[in-house]
Amino acid sequence: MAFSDQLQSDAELVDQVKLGDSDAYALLVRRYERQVRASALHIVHDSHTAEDVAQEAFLAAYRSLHTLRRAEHFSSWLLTITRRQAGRFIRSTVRKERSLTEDEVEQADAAAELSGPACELLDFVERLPNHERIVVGLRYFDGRSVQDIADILDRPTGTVTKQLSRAHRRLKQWLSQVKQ
Amino acid sequence: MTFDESIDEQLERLGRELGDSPGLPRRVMAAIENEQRSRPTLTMAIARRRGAAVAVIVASVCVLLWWQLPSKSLYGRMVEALAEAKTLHVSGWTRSIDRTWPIEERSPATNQVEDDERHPVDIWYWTDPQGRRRGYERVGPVVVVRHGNDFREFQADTALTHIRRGKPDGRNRLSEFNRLAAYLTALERPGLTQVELGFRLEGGRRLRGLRHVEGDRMVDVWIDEGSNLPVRLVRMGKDSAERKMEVSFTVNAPVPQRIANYHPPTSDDVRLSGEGGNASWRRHVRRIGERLGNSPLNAGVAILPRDSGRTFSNQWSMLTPKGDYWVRPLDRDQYEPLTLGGFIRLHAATRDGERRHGTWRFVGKSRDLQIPRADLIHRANMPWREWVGYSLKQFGFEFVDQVESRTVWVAQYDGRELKPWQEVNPPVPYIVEGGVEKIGVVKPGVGMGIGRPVTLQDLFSSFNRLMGDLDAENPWIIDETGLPPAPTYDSSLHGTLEDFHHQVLGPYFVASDIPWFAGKEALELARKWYASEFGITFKEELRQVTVHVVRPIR
Repeated sequence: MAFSDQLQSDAELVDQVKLGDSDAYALLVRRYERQVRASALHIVHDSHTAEDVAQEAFLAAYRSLHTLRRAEHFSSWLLTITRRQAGRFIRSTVRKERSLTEDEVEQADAAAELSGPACELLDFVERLPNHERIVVGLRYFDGRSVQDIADILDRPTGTVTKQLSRAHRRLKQWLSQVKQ
Repeated sequence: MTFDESIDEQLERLGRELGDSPGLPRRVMAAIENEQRSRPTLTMAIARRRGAAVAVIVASVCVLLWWQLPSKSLYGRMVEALAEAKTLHVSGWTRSIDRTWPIEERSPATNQVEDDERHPVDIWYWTDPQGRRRGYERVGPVVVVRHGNDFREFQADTALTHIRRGKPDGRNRLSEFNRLAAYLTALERPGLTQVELGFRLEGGRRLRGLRHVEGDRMVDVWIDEGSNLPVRLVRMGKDSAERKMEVSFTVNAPVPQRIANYHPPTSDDVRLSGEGGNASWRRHVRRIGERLGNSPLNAGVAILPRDSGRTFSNQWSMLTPKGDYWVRPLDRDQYEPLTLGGFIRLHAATRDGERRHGTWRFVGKSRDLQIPRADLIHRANMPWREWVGYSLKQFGFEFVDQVESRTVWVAQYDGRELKPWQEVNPPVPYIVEGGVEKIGVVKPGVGMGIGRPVTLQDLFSSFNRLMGDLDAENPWIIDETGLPPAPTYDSSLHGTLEDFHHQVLGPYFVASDIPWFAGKEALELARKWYASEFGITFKEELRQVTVHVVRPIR
């Protein structure tokens, strides 16, 4: 495909972007596109708006990349930016539309285009610690293998499997609490 | 580490529901390019919701074209220009016609991929007021209409209709637009040589030309310098320069009412796939059951020819609704009839027991004999020897049993703690050739990709099936590891198959996939893999086994 991912680690790609290689940033965008959209969707509850927020988040991250001191923390940093962008959007919407009724809020929720269980699960995924959320996103939203994730995050495969395992346990526990 | 399977599946479902946004990376990169170029405040024009769906389509299909362009700023400008597009029209001609439903009985009149005739091309993509993606693709006698996820192809020259419902079955968004994709994907192949063709004036516009050469093909692309929109794409032979295809792109032309309201005619010959494919086969089996209810088979077995040579995209051996007869399809699928060898592999041989894979041997080359498309029907309680014998007899063959010494692999286990199934390494690393991922390539050791974790019994039985050649020569595995076998499914105990998979099988999973161990060349690979990943070794032994020899009736 046009954007062929050679499975360089995030840190390597960030360093390349800092040296002026914008193609490397395209790989990072492609790598985290689903996670960033998911994070945005969790907050703004509208898939179109989530796309806008995701785009703004990637652009903001690109503009501020020189401030990122530890390149290996790119994914956590990007998701933090995404949440801020989404929060900014919500605040601006509330300022513009102070009189949102409950019906309108429900309509906005319905527009999220995720099924009920998926919304619930996304809520819990977003509640995971950042390092677990990122491996879950790469594994399930982006369809990466454990080995790929280990390469991307420059972590041992054992660490990735442990993080996935812990995330599973947490999600299972939270979901079971909801069902009780 | 034990993963909870239901969480695993729920997360995968969430990932699927989140879906792709192939336009997002393009838009981000275009915005960055634009920002770097002009440095004004970045506008959000590209991301405007109005027309965003079309923008995604357009960006998806056109990025392949632009990626080849030497100038990134040109790429950025083109994405930006096209992101605002509400409609895309492709018109021109081509010498080749693609069909999503290939014709089984291929004839020169219908099967020429490329011919001397110029077939008109008239393609439209747009988004309707309800926000659904729409498409109209007419190439010569074939017209495809897309309405959201519903797809209908009408082949006027063969009076055939293909309907697919449900999610598109392509690997990516681009494949949904198969006509346009077919034109453009040629440009993404590695090894392309690119040549600047310079500029020319046309209709008051200054066009920039780029030529891509690959093997014996050349593709010229012309782009409007003023609007940054693609204008024309021409494909031709490298040496003869004979044109094979010529199409023009028009953006934002109003979609004619005749296109927007077009419904393909209904033909008698309708093929269903996607969600409709299963329903089609079930309906076929139900009808057979109804016929048998009125006039049962005296012999309890028969081969029934299909009405009008009908074929099915999805089919499997299935009981009639009353459960009194099996219906077994005697063809592989809509593309391929069945051979006698295929009949044995698909229907006669089983994973275990006296007729297991690897116990069948053909005399001579009779295994390649093609059998007519039909359905084999037999009473559900009929012994296998009767219906297999009956079927072979219809084609002039029989099978006889023969006891002989065979080499078997007796599996033994060294008692080490088994790794979690997620951590078991594949026997062959991920395949990358020339920097390109080889998806779907089947080579010895590569996973079969059944999409779920597997038990040791799955591994062994698949090994036996794959090694089970029709010469009855390769070894098969006999499980003497002492490891507890996974329980077999019992609907009265385990509920649905899904429940069984999630709640019962979990502790028995040993690997994430089944390696493709087929043929003698894979034997050593299999030995090494089982030893290193599971501590399982194989002791070769000679055992007396019964082989079923298929031969012409004497």
